[in-house]
Amino acid sequence: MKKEIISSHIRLARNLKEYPFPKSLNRAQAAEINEKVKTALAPIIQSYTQADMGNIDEITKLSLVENHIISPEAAKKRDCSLFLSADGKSEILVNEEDHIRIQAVLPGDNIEEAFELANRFDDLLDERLNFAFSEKYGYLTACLTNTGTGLRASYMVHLPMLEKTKQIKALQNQVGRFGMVIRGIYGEGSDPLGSLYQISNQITLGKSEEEIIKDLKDIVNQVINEEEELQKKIKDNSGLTDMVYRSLGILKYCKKISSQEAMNHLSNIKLGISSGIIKDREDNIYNIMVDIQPGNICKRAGDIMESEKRDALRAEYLNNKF
Amino acid sequence: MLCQKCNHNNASVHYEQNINGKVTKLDLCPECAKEMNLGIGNIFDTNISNAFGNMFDDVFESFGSLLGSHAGTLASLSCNSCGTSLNDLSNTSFLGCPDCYDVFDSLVEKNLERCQRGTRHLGKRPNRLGSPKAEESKKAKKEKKPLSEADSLRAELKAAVKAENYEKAAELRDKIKALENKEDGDK
Repeated sequence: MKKEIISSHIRLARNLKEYPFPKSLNRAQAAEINEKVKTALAPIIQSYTQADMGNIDEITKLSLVENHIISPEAAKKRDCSLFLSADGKSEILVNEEDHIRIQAVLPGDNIEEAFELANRFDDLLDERLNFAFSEKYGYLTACLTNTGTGLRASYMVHLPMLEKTKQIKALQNQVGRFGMVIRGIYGEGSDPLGSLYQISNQITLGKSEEEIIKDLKDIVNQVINEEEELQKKIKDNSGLTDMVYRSLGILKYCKKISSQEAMNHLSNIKLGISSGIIKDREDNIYNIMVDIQPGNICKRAGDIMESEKRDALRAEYLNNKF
Repeated sequence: MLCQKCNHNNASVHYEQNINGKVTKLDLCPECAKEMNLGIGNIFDTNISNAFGNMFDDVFESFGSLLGSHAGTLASLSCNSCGTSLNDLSNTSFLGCPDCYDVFDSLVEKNLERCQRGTRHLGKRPNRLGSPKAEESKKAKKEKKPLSEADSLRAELKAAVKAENYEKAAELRDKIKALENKEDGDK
C-alpha cells in the first residue's frame, strides 16, 4: 500500500425534489427534511449517533471538523444535522449545502470500497426518498459544481517532499488541467498543515462515477510516484536524517508546543518513517496529528482552554508518544 | 490579448506551468483551450500541446456575466417554486431549488459548459426511475399521444427562452401555470 495515502473519501450530494435547497429553506422546512431523513434511515442503520449543529457545543463541533467528520462550513450551519454510523465509516449530513450528503471514509487506498459503501446508502435512501434528478443533468444540486453525479471522491495524502521542494503550486495547476484539485487538509479554502493535502475530482458532470474514480486514482498515483521518487533521492541525505531526528527530539522533550509547530515535526517524522530513516516504528503519525488539534485537546480535557494551557497539554501528550 | 493558437479570438484562459523553475505560459481563447484537452494523461508532461489549462479559475463565470446585455429584460424571469429571480442568481453559481434548473435552463447549460466536462449526465440514475431504456420507450409512447395545450405552450416557452425573448417567456410561463392549476383543480 502507498504509505503516503492516508485515507479515501467519497461524498454523494442529493436533494429532495419538493424542497428549496438548504440556503433558501425556512426552519420548519429544514426540520421536516431532518425528520424525513431520520425516518428513512431508521431501517437502514441500526446504530448511529445524531448531532444537531444548533445544539452541540463549540468544542465538539471543532473536534468533529478536526476528525474530518464534518466540514468547517457544516459546523456553522444551525439547521445542519449529522447521522454518524457506529463504526465511524459512513455518515449522512443533512441540510449542509445540499439536503443530503452521503459520506464514506476508509483508511488507506480504498476509494472503490468507500464508493461501494456510500453507493449502498444512496440506493437504500433512494427507495425511501424522492431525490431531485433530471435525465439531462443527473442529480440536481444547490451548486452547479456538483451537478450530475454529485460525487466528490478524494484522497488525503502526505506530500512532504513535494512541499519542501515547493512544487505544490505547480502541481495544483497540473492536476487542474485534468479536472482535479489539490486542497488543504480541511478541504475547500483551508491551508495545508503537516504537509497533508486532499486531492479530489472537480468535474461531476459528463463522466460516470467509475470514470471519475479511475481518473482520480490515475492522477493520485502519479503524484505519489513523484513524491516517492523525491524521497528516494534524498534518503541518503544527512541533512534530512538530521532534520527527522531533531523533530523527534523536540516532540519527545518539549514542554509546550503549538499545533502548527507540532504538525511540522510530526510531518518530518512521518517522512522519516516512510523514507526508511526511522525503522521499527509503526506509522500511526496521522492519528497523533488528529489528536493534537486544539478541539480534540479541549475535548479530552473536557474544558475550553487558552492556547498556553493547550500547548502544555499537547507537549505532554507528545512526550508520551515518542 | 489574442489567443496564441488561433490568433483570432480574445484570450481569456491563461495557462501557466512551472516545472522545476521552468515557466511556460500560454494565453488561449476558451474554444482553443477546450480543443487542446486530450483527457487524462501524464500530469508531469511538459509538452504544452495537451494542455487543458486550469480553466476553472479563469472560465468559471457567474450567471451575471453570462447575462450580458440581457440582464435588464431577464430580471422579470423568476422560479415559481422558490421565488428565485435572475437577479438573485447574478453573482453566484448557486440555484434556489431543483425547479430552477428548468426555469433557467439555457443559463444553467451555458454555465455547466464552462465548469463541467459536458452538459449530459452519464452516471448513476435513481433505481426507482427504471432503466434508461424503459424510460425511452415510455417517452416514445407518450410522444404518440396528441400534445395537450400545456405541452405545446411548454415547447413555445422553450423556444422563446432559446431566442432570449424573455418577455414572451414570462407571458407563456404564466399561461402554463394557469393551465396546470386548472388541470389540478379538475382532478
